[in-house]
Amino acid sequence: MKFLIICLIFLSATIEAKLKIEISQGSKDLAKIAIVPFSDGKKTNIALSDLIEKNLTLFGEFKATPKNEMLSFPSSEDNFFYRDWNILKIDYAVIGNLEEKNNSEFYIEYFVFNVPLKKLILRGDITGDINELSQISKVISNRTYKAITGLEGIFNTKLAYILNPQKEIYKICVSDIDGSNEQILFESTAPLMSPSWSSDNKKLAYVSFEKGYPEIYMQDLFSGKRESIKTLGLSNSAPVWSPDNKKLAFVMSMSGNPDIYIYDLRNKKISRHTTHYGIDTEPSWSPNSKKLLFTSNRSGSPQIYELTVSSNRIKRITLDGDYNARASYFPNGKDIVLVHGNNGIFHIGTKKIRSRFINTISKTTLDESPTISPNGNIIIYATKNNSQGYLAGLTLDGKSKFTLPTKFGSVREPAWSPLMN
Amino acid sequence: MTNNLIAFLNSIFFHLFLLAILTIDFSIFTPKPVREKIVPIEFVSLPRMEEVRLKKSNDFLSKRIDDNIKIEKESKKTIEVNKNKLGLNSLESLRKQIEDTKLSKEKKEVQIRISLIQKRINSIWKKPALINEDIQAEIQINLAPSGEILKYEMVSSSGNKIFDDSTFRALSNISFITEVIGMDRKYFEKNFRTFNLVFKSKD
Repeated sequence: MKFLIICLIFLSATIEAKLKIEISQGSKDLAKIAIVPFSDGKKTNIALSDLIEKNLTLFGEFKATPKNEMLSFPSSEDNFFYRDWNILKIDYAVIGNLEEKNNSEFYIEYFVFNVPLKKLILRGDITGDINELSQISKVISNRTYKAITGLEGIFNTKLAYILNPQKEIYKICVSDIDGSNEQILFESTAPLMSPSWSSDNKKLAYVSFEKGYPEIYMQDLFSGKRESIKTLGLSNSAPVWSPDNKKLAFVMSMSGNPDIYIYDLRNKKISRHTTHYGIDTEPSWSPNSKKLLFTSNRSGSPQIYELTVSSNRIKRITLDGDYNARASYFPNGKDIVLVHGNNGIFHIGTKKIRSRFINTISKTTLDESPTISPNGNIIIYATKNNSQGYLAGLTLDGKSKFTLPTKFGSVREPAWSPLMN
Repeated sequence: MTNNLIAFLNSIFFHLFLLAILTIDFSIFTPKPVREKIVPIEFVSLPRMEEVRLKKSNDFLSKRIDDNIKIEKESKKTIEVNKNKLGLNSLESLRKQIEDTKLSKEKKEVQIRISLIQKRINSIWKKPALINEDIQAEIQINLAPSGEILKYEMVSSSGNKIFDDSTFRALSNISFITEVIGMDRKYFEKNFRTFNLVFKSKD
């Protein structure tokens, strides 16, 4: 009896041993998307679909199908035929229609289809003014992006950066994510540094040398009102807002030794969190506002450390390479992006907090100041070409690399805003 | 009373008779001729002792020789047996080699087909952008010997709908897995009639 049971067990084991083939790389090709001109018979529809197409292809995540290749121009679910798009090997199709309500107000209905699976994956509508076409296109783009990828859309987020158009002119600028609609927040003949967004997108913190020494300012984006942090130290730098908007971490030098401090925005109190005689700088908050990453040379070369704010317990995070700096967390809190250097060559890299391995993702060699998109899928960083600074970026899977439109002057220290509501 | 007494007396006489038969040596009533000569002790000489000793020694040696001969015979037998065994072993190992060659041929062919299938599926699967998630989805494929995909279904979801959809999207673009065409039918039935594709988010 026992023998029979054992035989049955072995037999079932052999039956279960099916061939399993692992597929892990995926295609290098981008997903093909068709943005069909929205139908209303007027010129407006082309502008809207063009704007949506421009948004969705901004970071090279999709390949848009030219309109002259489209076999039909459906505007609603009823007249959408999957075979017309399957023939073109389209992965996703976006269609829609506009209805004029009154003089300048429009009602827009849109649909997104997963063509190979023959599924409608998004149906939505929006009402807006004709003058808000750009904003409307961003809203539709965000929703479409989320329906396709599962990630939050970032097309209405902003970039803050330092622009140095000529010697002794420094500007803090904010623009749309594609570099358009640039606005100057503050201009100075003294250096400006380290812009940082508050989590509600209402304020920007940065460092200004206008008084002859580095001081931290918080500027309200709508009113333009500026407020500096009163500290005892002569050198204050690297401000960064906590995600819960209650604190500002920064670097202050007392007796010539830079350490990490936290400024409580509610009670205006300052607390010190590192005391090592080495240089501690470039703090960055974890998504839950409980930990800070910072750069320190306490071991002999710049490396990344993690500080638990409540206990001041410090743990070294990077072990490889002679230079690791400017780290910040991904939205998941488990991975970080940093500048990783060896023998004078600096790349942007990513790393799991608990792993030793650093994955180098950028190919240019003088990369600095990486900033992660709020959905964690794109990294923008500053780099140089013949001493001219500009902003470049890439998607996390490495499929797409891009550069933002060059400005007149050198661009440094980009800071990506949080998601806009 | 008289009868009992008689019976008792009879019993006694019978038992005595038995006893007599068992204990008396009746050979005294039939004297045997004397065969042995009694030799006075002074006539047992040294040579006689030597003779006895030699005899004993010879007996011992003979026994040893016999034993050695026996051992030699047995050794020869063992060698013969081992020789035969060796021959058998060679045969066994040869048989095993042939089996291994057949197996490695199958293994080789299957591995080649697996590589081709991996290359093809990787070229059409558009992996969605996922922020450092380590997930996998498993899809069971049923094939006809012509390579035609008869059926596919998800046997283990990744838990992420976008990821699962991407795997279905990849398979919806192909009707035939031509990479299995031309392979030995036995190998196909064993390995590719039904197999699983495991799509992984991490390389």
